[in-house]
Amino acid sequence: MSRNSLARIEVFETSVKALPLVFFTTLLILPLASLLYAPFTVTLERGVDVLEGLSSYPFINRRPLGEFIVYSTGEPPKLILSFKDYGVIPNTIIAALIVTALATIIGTAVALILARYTFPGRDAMRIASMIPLLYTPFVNAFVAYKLFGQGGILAEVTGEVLGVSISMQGLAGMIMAQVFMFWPIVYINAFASMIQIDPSVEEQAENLGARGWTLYKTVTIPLALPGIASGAALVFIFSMEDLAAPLAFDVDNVVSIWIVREILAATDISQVSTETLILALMLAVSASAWFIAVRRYISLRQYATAEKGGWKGRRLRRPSPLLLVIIYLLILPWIIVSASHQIGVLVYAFSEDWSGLLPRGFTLSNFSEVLSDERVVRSFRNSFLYASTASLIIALIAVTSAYAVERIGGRLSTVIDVLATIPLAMPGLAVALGILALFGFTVAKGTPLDPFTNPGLYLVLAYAVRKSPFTTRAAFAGLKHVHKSLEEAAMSLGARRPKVVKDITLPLIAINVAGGLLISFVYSVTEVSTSITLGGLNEDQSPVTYIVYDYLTGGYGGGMFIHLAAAIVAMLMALQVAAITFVNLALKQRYAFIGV
Amino acid sequence: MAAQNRALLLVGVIAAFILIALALFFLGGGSESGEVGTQAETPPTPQTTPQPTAGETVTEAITTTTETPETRTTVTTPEEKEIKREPVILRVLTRHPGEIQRATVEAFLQSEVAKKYNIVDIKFYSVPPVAWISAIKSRGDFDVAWGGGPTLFDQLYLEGLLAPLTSEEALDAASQIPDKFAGVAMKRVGDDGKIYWVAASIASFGFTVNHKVLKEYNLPIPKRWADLASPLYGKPLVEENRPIVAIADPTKSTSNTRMYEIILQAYGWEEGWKVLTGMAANSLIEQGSADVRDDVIVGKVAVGITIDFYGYTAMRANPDTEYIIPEGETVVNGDPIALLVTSKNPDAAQAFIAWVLTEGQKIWFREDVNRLPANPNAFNLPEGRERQDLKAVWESLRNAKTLDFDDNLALQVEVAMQLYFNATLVQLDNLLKEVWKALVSKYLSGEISDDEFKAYLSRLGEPLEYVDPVTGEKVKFTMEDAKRVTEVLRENPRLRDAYIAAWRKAAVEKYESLLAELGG
Repeated sequence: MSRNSLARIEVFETSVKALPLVFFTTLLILPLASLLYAPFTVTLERGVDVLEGLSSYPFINRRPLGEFIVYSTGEPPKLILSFKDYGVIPNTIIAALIVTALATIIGTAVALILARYTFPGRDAMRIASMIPLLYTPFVNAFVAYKLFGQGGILAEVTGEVLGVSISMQGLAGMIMAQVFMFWPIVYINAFASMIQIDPSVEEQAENLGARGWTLYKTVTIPLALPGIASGAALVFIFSMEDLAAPLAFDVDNVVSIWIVREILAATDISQVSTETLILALMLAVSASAWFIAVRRYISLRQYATAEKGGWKGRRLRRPSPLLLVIIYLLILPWIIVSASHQIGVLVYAFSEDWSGLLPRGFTLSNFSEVLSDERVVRSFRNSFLYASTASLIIALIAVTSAYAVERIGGRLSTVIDVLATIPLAMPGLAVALGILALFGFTVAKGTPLDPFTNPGLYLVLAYAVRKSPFTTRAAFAGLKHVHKSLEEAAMSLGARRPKVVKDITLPLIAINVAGGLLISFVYSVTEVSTSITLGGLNEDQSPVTYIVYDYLTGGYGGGMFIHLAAAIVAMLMALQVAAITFVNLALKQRYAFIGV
Repeated sequence: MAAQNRALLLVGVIAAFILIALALFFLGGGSESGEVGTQAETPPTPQTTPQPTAGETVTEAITTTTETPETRTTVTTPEEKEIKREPVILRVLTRHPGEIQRATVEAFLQSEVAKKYNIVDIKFYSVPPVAWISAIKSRGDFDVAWGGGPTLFDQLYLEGLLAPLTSEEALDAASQIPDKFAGVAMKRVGDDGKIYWVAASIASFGFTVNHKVLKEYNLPIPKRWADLASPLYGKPLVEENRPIVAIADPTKSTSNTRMYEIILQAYGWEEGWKVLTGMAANSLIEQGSADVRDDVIVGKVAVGITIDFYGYTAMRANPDTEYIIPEGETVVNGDPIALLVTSKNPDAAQAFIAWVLTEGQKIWFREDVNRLPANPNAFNLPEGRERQDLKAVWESLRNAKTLDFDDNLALQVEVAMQLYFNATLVQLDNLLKEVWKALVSKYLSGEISDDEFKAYLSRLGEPLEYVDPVTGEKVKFTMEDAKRVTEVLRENPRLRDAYIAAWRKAAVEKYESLLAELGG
């Protein structure tokens, strides 16, 4: 190659690396640093004292508090699933491990069944499996209590039917809610991996006599490991970072909640506590370590396939009667139960009153009332615009970071890898307040870039930062499945790197990226932390989650305020469904089902 | 080819960013730039000078305050002889929900005052309280702060961010607000005798109860604050690990902070902490006051401590709930409005404040707002005459046997009180509950007598002895000590974590030893 073209390659590679580096430094590292600088200096002053505090109650409990299960005699007797409190730090890890284990087992099992068997209702189940992914911000807390709390529906029904009233509280409830929320993440990743497995491999195994479980255990599942493992890694981080489930079950002693509490407890954002800093670092380090470990492990194996696409239900078979029973009596009810939060939101949205066991008075007036509020309509437009714009940025960032790490390598690629991962583990509130402190008070003050003037701009960027890892992970997984030899073949025929990327790599990973973008979009639309912090700066630019929050805290509509908020959230769910359907239809030609 | 592709990619990226930026600027039509645009396109009044925009902000403005008359850069267009005021946009930092904001903008912009001062818009900024001080200091262009409770405004006052009222109309409006209502100051008067904040609305504090849940557990209706520390309310906790009361963390809720200050004054410092400790032990400790209200509405708890209008919201959401004013121990709260030292238009800002205190009081009478006006004359407004129900509440509060609340004292110990409460009762919530469950179950089973229970509660709730992180000396958290620590933390906020750690450590030791003693 001529010197000129070598230089060009270098320019290409440098810009591919520079883009994510600049992006994450500006919008993640600097804002966090501006927020955590003060506690950092205080930590240096206080030294070991800080560690001493973190090694005792409430961070690490010398003896666990409370009980796993509380049983109270009475009429009817009550069985309350709770959990021991081991302290903020162990609780977080224990819960994340349990949630990851359960979500992985369930997600893989469901994926295996849906990817390899055909039976009546399969399509419906594939769609229903996506429902738990629909976020229902704020209102889910009401629903969780209504369904699983003491005096809730589960308690009433079990009290009547079994004679023992069963309810969930604390960490036990949180773990359950997280398994409901997160198993589909393993499922869609595992499903995508399974249908991308080169069919000839399974056929060869079958020719050698492998059948049923042996085939899955020795061939299918190991080959789907990249998908399963990255899904599991996501779930682990999600569980640690999640605020929705702990808030729904009043769990205080987990790291995510603790960080938010500590930040809000400060008299001023220039005085955030040292514990915030340390716990946030802990989340960031464990998230990146976990991800990098998973990828190193996967990299030891060869998973790529030289064949892409072309999968058209070739490997679908009919389940045995026993398996069919399991599907209808175990898998189907599970899918329905794990969608219970979403169902509950709809019940609130379409009813006049749900203070008793059963809702009363079907109505559409909740919808007509919130739709007559121009802020609601505007906020939907805003959120849609923000999330779509953020998705465009995310596509760019995700593809460049994945390509830089996976194909270019070299110095800085580990840095990019870490940077592209930690937004998942970073509390949104810290990012939001960091942005406010950095840009709102200093850099952009008085310019059109001022977040007090145009908070929408920062919401877009914050969504892009916070929700990019979903697409980046998907792009990684895609690149893992594309054999380098395909690109090398093109290069050996004289194609230069940018052309290879454009003509070979991008088309081959497009489906993965599109699937990742779908998740990024859905989670951007439903983003809470940044939205409620920046969304109030200019009401014209408020996103929909801010409006829901305002409805709930302001108590608008008097007695109906929960139902009104539920109506907004129900419409938010509809928006998410519309996005999923759209992507589904758009990809139909290539792929029967959208998978990540 | 490669070069072309690269160039295309680059252009595409830049174009995308520009598009995004453009899309956002024109979004919603309500952005700053949008307004300036509309203003220029539809000139009902001739304007020759550019409107002040956010671009002109200067940080030093913090020092240039009250004396500057309104920025009337005497626009002498030929056809105008008179002084023409520039159009003004007021920037209001607020904790009031969107409904109140919108109602205010709508009503105020039609008022005579707005026309007189050529106030063309009010921009509300809902900033989390944790960012208020930073926001005011570094932005330098906020005019007014409104809503968020006296504790927040007193913090601003102590930071030197509030400017005294000076204009005639603002002072006149402020004079219509009683200096004290039910024993509580409705104005913050500085050492210089000037008024730094004035209450725009009044709220009382009490309990919102859910009768259905109370009945389910056979619990009495609480009458006094101390009732909430009773072992009776600890029964569901012992039996079902279910806290039956809800309160909020004072570091996040200004209304709950005020309730704890009431308790500490009603019962005295030592006794007050015992009540607070028992109450926290019985309670689900929430992060915000609205969460407490919602817990009562859905029946998660039987009692929540709330501000009155949350109680009224609850009563409309669930007929099983009721708002109850504690006998002889209620305190009202004036929710302030104040001029900020950073105001660029202090005259217009004060005109707005005056309007809120007079004509604007009608906002509180709206069905979806339901608050008590601070100005008694408000009941003579047409909107006020229709709200005899609020008038009745207002009268009953004024005549109620209330506590003589010393808000200067409350302010002197406030920061230490909030952090101590957070360190010993909120952060150690589960450990405290473990002790409490052991204690209450012994009491309920008759293993310990009433007096023994009281002796234990007394030890549990007595203010701690702790090692002061600065001096290294062992001190007791008395009221004097709380004043001292508040002062120390005001001087050096960086010591906050060290005090929290010291209090938490002392509390862990006490709780653990009590737990060992109770055999829990």
